[in-house]
Amino acid sequence: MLKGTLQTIILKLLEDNNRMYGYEITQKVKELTTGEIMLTEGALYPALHKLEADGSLETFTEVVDGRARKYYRLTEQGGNEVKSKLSEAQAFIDQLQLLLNLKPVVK
Amino acid sequence: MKLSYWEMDYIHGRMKNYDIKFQEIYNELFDHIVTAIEERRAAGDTNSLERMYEDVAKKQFGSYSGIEKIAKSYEAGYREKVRKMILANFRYYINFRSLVFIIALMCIGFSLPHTNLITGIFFIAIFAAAAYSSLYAYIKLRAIKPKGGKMSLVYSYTGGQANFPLIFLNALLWVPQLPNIFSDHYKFKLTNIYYPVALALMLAFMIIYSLSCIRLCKQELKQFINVDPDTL
Repeated sequence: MLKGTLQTIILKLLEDNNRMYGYEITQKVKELTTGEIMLTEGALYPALHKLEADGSLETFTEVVDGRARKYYRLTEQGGNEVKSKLSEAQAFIDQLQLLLNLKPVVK
Repeated sequence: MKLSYWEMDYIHGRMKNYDIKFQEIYNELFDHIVTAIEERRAAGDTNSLERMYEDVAKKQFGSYSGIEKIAKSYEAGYREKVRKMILANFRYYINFRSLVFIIALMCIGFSLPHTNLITGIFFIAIFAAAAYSSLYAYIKLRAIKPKGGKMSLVYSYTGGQANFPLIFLNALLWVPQLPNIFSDHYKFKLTNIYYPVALALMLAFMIIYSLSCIRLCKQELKQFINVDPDTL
């Protein structure tokens, strides 16, 4: 995975799903990419904590099945960041296509 | 498929090997591991709990060092978050009304004589403002009760911010004493080196900082929704 894309993926998932917990994010990525991209917890949690420290995410804790579960959701700042990160990612993909002379996938 | 009490107890036992100081970090990792094992069971995995635990801890978390790395990043991230929040809260309270309050307090400071009595009164007022945030944090954050010798991340860092005004006050009192502190005839005496206007300014900022800390405590406690403190 390209450096910096993990944060974009997390922000986009949280935009689509409102609130998610760590394990749920790893499973969602696995499901959406049919197992092609596997997020390791060692990469996911530091990225989540960085986004939280930057103010893009906020957290809350709920008790589920007798244990505390920490959920993440976007803050207003995070919501704005999703848009800019997505357009950055799109621009980068466009540049890559130009450079590598890739043809867009037609389904 | 929900794990039984004894299976959860086994996981708690295994997780004792990791050097995780804070309860909130422990809770998040514990929930992740338990959920991963439950999902595997639900999907028909018939491996033993020990095998599944090893699998999750090694493959997904990168074993001992991976888990400790996550714990460190969690703590560093939280410290940074609290630092940013306290600054944001401080900025929130610096507004037109507080500026008027600061100017009014400084005007009073200008008109007061530079005597021991006035210095003493200002120090008492600064102490009251500083102690208020510490006391508030202590009472409110007591609701978080970590278990098994762990500490609360929220309590440690949020409480730490709330105690900062008292540390600052201590420094104000003791720094002027330093030149004489090693003398044989040293006796603590409130040194009258701060002008009333400077003390008035310190008091104003101390009040604003204390309010920022109180707001921080409220913001941090808000994240626990319907959570029995004993679960934390």
